[in-house]
Amino acid sequence: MKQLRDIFIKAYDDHSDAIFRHCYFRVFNRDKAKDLVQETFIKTWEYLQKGEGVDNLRAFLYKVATNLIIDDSRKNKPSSLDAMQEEGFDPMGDSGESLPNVIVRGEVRQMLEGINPKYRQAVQLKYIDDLSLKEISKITGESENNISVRIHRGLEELRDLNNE
Amino acid sequence: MNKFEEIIKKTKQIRLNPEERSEIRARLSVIAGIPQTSRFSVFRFLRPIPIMAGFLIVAVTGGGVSLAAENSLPGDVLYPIKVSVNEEVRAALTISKEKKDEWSAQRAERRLEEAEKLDEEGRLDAEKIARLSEAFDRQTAKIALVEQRIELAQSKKAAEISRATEKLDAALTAHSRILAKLTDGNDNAGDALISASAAPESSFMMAAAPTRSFIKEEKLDEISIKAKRVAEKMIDNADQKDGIRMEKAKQFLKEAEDKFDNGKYGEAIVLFRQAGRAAQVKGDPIPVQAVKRVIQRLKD
Repeated sequence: MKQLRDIFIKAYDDHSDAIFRHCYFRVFNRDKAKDLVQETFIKTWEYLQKGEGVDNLRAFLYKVATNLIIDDSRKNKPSSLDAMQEEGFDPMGDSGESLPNVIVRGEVRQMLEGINPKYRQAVQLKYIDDLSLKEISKITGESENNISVRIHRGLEELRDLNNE
Repeated sequence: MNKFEEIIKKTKQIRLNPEERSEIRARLSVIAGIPQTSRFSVFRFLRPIPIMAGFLIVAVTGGGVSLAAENSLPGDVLYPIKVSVNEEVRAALTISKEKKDEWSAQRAERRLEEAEKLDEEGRLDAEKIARLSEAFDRQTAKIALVEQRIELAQSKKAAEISRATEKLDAALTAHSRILAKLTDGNDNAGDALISASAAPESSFMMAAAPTRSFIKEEKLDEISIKAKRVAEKMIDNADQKDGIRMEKAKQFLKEAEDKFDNGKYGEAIVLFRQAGRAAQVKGDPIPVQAVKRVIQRLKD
């Protein structure tokens, strides 16, 4: 049991930032992202407890996080950027996040919304999460080829957008 | 560097700050039973009684007691640990309001499940019912209730039905049987419940009857008929164009009528109410005041 705890907390030390960033740029809310990080690690701990082995802990964490985000988005209607602007949302509202961060968040969101959802995830995993093709393949279960094609197409769309 | 690369570069600056990292790390350490070595105190976030108990339990038993408490029922020795330690610790661990609400909804459902299990074992008495319904009310009071949902839907903002209220709705439907039993005004249990319930507008009571006074004065079959009329009116007033929602509402209505025909008035009341709520969600909602007026008129 002690060994498991050590492995677990080391995984946290190594990957918490990455998982945070992964969640942050999907839910676009700092508090929610923090909750998701916590939930991801808690769920992972519970899984490890069952005695099931995990070969790649890092990929597993991403998978858990991704699934939690999907569950979350299914139940809650995600408010689009436009809807939020209508409501006149308070940019400094949640957890007093710094303005530069808020701006980046908005820019990223806008950029991502410009990409076809089919290609979005691949682009995001490669450029924002900084994962290799191999890792993305492990996490999503798709072939490296498919992922490569999607990334390429996604970037093309962005290029077209920028050139307009 | 083009615009894309610029933005990507900036995303790297988003990370957990040291405080946030330690916060979460500390919480995870508690869950994994790892002794706290850093000076950062997780106790800051927990209220005095549960943390001391929680700390002692983990320190002495390695978390085994906490685990064992999870299946306990009111009246069992470990039950206080389940509610005042385990559940409180989990409540303290959540950060966002959303997740807090979801956990509250889950806790409310737990009270219903416990009531069901006690009933199966024949251990459900008036006192336990009162305690459980009190606890249920406390949890549901923390969540945005029907009134607030309706207000949200009325405003021009996108109607965000929170996951918590959906959870609660599902729980009320799934446990309609025990809810009905718990609010059956025909025996002592019902009286205990009425005196224990805080506000007449609590979710628990609303699920079973429009107002508290109904249960004391009238018989369940009559209340059931009134609930049916309210539900039908809500369905008529709702947005008929939303086919899926109307389907759902009418389904509840049919189930409720079935229960009514079989003499299961308590369950019928709960299901009539669900039908009304299903019709209301998202779209042209009926303000709570209007509903109350309708009920008042039916009473006369």
